[in-house]
Amino acid sequence: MKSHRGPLLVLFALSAAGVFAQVAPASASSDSRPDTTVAVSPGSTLEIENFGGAISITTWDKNAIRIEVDRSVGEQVTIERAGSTIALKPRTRRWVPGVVNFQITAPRWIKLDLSGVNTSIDVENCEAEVHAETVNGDVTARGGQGPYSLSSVQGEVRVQGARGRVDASSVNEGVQLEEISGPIVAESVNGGIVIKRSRSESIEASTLSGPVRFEGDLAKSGSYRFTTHNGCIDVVMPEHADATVSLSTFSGGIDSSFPVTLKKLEAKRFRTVFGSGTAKLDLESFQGTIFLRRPNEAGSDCFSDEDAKELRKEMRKELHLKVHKDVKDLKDLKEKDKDRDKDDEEKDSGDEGDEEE
Amino acid sequence: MNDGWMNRLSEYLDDELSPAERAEAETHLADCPTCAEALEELRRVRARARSLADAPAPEGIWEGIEARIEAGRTVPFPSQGAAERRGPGRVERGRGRISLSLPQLIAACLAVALVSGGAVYALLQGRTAVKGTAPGATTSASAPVTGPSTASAPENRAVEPERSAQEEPSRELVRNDERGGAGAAVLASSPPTASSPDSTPQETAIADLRKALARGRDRLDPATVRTLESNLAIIELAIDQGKRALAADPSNTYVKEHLADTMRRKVELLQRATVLASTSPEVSR
Repeated sequence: MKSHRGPLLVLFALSAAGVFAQVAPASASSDSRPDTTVAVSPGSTLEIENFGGAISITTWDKNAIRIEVDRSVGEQVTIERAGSTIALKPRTRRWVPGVVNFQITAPRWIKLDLSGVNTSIDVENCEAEVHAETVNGDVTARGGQGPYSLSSVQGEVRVQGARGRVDASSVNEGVQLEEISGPIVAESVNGGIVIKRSRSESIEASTLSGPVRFEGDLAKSGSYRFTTHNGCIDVVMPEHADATVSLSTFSGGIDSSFPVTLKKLEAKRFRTVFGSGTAKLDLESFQGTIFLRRPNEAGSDCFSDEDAKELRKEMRKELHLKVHKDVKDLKDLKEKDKDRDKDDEEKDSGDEGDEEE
Repeated sequence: MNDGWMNRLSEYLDDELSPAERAEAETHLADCPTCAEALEELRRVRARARSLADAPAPEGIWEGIEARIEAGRTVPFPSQGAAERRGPGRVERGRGRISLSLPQLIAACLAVALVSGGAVYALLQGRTAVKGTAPGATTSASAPVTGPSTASAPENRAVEPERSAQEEPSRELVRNDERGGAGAAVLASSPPTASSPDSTPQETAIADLRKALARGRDRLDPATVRTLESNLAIIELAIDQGKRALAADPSNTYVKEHLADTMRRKVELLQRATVLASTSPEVSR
């Protein structure tokens, strides 16, 4: 959140001092209804910073922002304007951040900068830049041009039907993208990535612990890169695709439903060409299986793959051993500490005895 | 194994050896996987210790750990990290060893255990792809994984990738025997040098970020801290496996790139965690 704001735009549920514009005073009512509408001019940015609760954005053709707040939580909201930016946030009381469910209707063209901590974010049909970031909650976007930049630490990120660029990342959950026609960058650490029915010319999807699944057409001159460390890669592509496919794995496998010819480029790296080979498809799994499948073919369930199961079992065993070792070290340390305390006590009591003597 | 060098690893780590001794140590480390593994462990413990403030183990933690040891179980995902609790700690310094206070060392070891436990937890969750498969998915849990969908598809057969140096028709199931790398030599057979992926400026950046994160971690929700730590553990495990793979096949371009990419992820996650910690509102808990 920016540290300084300019003149206030709206005084709602008035603050006579003019320091804050306050919306949605505490109320016993649990309904959510229009609280206020704010006129905005093209080029404006809407910024919302929430601590807990939800942010839900829908769009309309009016040059105005309608702000609705779920009153059940009884929080107040400040509305501030700085230049072309309208900023909303729950009012902090006694250093305790507020919890608010925002229901916003905004112009399609407005830029969005949304952030939260324990907050879910939902955005629909935005035709301008959307930046949404939360720590604990899902982030969802549907339709619109974007471009979208969406991220969560402990939540899933889902986008459907976006026409522009999509950058989507989650740390501890998955990313799911459908019917995207712009460039895609998707990333996770401990989650899977699914990209379906997209017509993107550029996709980069990468995770460490989880599968990557792609199902869709490959553009003639498209560039696609799917990578994982501990998971499978499952690519469903048309029978007559024109793609040069590079497959890399250290200790995983390759399983193709297509009759392909694998050319070894170097150890653990192979290449095969489909049709004229114009699109570029790089598939890398350190220790999982890479599947190439036809559309409508029986699915490969990455996690029922016996090899993947075996690998995860080995990883678990490895981690168990490590934990046992660490715990043993801790126990040894504690024993040493006890012995030392005992020695100190004996020494102290000996000294006291000497003094008494 | 040269036990003499095993006992001097911390001097090596602290750069307290003479140039000649250092060279000798590096020669030994190149040939001794046990010492190389021990060195890596020391480096990890030191890195973690540096990122943690002096903190005593929480009351009751030992009893809990002991009980679990007695029960033959591993440490489960913790409800609260020891490092989050503060208090006076006992200081112990060893001569010629890593300069850590006992609380730091305990906290470091505990952190290793907790982080590992977190990773175990995450893995044990058996996380599958993405929750809530969207309509239209063609995958099927009951479908055979490798089975062709058409009768005309060639039969499955397994070959070693190395054997497919010539152009080879497939549908192939290509496998390697180095799977998992669990039994492979730990770390590289080479000592950590300037060219080692883990001793570059990235490592310095990682240490700096960890310090910054340690300063701000109190601002983060404990559950978020645990999530970040378990994900860091996943990344570190992937890095370890990448290093082993590289040790087994030093010229492998894919493994090199993968390792570099995984290191980048670690830096990025730490950066993100640090930003989160620095921008999160302070909430009294």
